[in-house]
Amino acid sequence: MAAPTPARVADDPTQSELRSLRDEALAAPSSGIVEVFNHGRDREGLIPLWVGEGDLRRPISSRRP
Amino acid sequence: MIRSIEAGETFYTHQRGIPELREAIARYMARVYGKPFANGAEPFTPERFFLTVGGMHAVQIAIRLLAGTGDDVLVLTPAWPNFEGALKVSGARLIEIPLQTKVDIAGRQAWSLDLDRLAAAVTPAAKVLVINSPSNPTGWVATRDDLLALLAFARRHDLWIIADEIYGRISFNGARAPSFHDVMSEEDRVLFVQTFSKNWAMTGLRIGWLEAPPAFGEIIENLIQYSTSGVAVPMQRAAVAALEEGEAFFQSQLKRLAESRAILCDGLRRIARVRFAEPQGAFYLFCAIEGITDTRELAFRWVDEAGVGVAPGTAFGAGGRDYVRLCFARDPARMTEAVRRIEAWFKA
Repeated sequence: MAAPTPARVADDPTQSELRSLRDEALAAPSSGIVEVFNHGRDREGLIPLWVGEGDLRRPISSRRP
Repeated sequence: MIRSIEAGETFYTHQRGIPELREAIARYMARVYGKPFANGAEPFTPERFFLTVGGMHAVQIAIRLLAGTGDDVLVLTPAWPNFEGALKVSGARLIEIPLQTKVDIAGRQAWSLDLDRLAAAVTPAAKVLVINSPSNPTGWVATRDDLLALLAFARRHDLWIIADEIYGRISFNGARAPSFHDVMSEEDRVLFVQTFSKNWAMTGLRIGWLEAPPAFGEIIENLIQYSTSGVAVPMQRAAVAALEEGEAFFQSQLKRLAESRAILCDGLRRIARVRFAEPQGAFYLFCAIEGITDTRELAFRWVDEAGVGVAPGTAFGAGGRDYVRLCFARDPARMTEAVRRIEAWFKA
């Protein structure tokens, strides 16, 4: 699922609002990881190995400011 | 962090980061890397470090400093997709340099740098070379010789290097991965992006840093001012605690990663259709599956049919299209169960 490219925006009259946006903003690609993540994020029992973070919680320090 | 909020540290702050944290980073870098330049005695000083809202913000600032419309940026791929995104938003053109996969005499796969491909890809408009080692998603780790060659290449073509070394301490061959700090001199043009997210499990706190020549200080401060206006002080307090009290946590995480990596590698080796290079660093395994050409569809199927979520290789550039990425920063028992489910999917 790619972001709307400038060319696609120009071809699609329903996307006229987007024509005023910068080409560089429109060129920002959608994340192929987030797409799958959104598909499965609420699945009960699923083991998520998709995003780049661990499952350990950082211990909160009692350090004072 | 909580005490910082309770103490009322909720106001604007130093754009470059609070002095205590910049000093703590300098001490940490000295502990891990020794000194910033291979050929000098100069120590790490706080003036080299600029706090950012995560490593991603450090990448953005680095790109804003170096490249924009009309400029080419060389990126080794498969690569973390956020490089592509940030470059496209900047207007710069991304040129992908695929890593090679080789098979050694023992039949093991390995990713490697292809300097000929790099030389063939450089253009007159090239301004920046992005190097992420240890690599997300491949687990490739540049050798000291690779880094020397890349540095020589950058000097020859008058390029800046953006060195993403955020997984530098997550190495399965030695205490840490080779760093540009081991080979560079003060004249070399290298910006480093770093984060607290991975070593200290702080992904959601959004704090990282950019390392740059101190002479860039005012310019970087301005770019921070006009993007985020600085990092929230409670997050910076948490970062000081991570650097000064977090080594035991990091070491325990590293031990756990080695265990889960072994479980995943051993499990996938049992599946004849799966091919991969054993990751040498970072916490990802990037594998291809014989008979599968649409890894996006496969990722959706594994969610639905195996109960395992993976990242499709299509997200990591052209060189990653035939692969899926599995993050093994998981409890070993969960990793064992994930491997069992994947094996069962292949048998079904």
